[in-house]
Amino acid sequence: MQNIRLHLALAGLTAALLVMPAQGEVYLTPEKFLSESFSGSAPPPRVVWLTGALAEQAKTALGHKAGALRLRYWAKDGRSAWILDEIGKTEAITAGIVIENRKITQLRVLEFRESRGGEVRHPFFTDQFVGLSLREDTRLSDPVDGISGATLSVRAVENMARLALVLAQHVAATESPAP
Amino acid sequence: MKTGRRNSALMRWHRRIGLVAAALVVVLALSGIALNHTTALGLDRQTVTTPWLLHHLGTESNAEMHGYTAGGHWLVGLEDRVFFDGQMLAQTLDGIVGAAGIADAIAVAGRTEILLLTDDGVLIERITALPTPITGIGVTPDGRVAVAIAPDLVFTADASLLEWQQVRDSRIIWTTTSLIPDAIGEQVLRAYRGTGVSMERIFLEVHSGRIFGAYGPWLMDGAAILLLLLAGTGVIGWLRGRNGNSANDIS
Repeated sequence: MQNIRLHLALAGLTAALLVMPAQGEVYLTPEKFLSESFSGSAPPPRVVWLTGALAEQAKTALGHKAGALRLRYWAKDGRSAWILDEIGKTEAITAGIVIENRKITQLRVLEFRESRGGEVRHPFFTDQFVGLSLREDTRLSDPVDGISGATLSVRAVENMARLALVLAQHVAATESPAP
Repeated sequence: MKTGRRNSALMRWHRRIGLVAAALVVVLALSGIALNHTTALGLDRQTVTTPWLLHHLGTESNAEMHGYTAGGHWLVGLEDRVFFDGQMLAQTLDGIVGAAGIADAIAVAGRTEILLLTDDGVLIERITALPTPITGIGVTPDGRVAVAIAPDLVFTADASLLEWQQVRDSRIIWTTTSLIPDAIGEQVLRAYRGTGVSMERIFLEVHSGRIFGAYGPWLMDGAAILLLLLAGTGVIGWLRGRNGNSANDIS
């Protein structure tokens, strides 16, 4: 009888865990990401406006129109850091991307809000982006291995990587270095 | 002879259970298949706006609207949605606190973020790096955005709303709610309903039984139990039949 009760309790617990709604999970705060990216001293934020040709480039990188007219970034000593949001399936995924010399030097998933596809936060996936740059057709210089069952999340992270590279190239070409 | 009678009774119950469960099992199976292929079938992109269905699913809002005027426009908050002159914005906000018009832009404050809009209602930026929780938003005499965290804790932003600093300025003009004109209120309600619900949500409601009302989930639980009974009686019947045949073979 005790065994039956134990089994029922375990079954109930399993069912409860299965039906629990997925909550967004913060893996790294933007402040900590920026602090780590700039050796403990993040520069003040700047903004880039997505207008004209840059808006079109951003649209190509994302595969859809960007959700906002301006994005903020942090830049110092030839390095820029971008914190971007992109919808996976229904919820936004937040990623932090550092770019130096037109190449990604770091990509971290800061917050994941979807119920599935959270594997994109792991280094085995994000480390693939390190060293990637942008080809002329706005594709990444090397293919990234996907994750079964996380196709939309993988696509969202790739989109953010492409957008960050587009924006970093733009600001490097148009803006003067930080004083 | 006794085993044959027991088998016959078992199969009779197997058929009865099957008959009772049939309709619900069809609903469970079809909705389950549809939910397994949500993306491929486009169920998450298709929406339904049928009024009685929306009403039945409880998607009409009973929440209070909060309206503010800024830059000559009406900003209305209803639940987590924001409406610009009656048109719903794509972005949500965690409870509208106020709206302030500044040069060529409108800042709509929620408790933990600000939506910075053009004066056409297009999102410039969702600003989350700022002091929170916001209890009020206003404009300084020189046209900068100010937010109140508490009555004696006020911050103002630079012109780009990138950096904030604490100030003591009694000349800030704080925004207050305004009486929403009927026409705007009706537009807001129409826009709120207009989003409808996704087909995915409807299939989820069907699959869980919630669409059939408060007792719907119990009904679907009953169907699931009947399925278990069907499996059980089916397996037992098959085993008994096999044993019976083996016995006959030996004799």
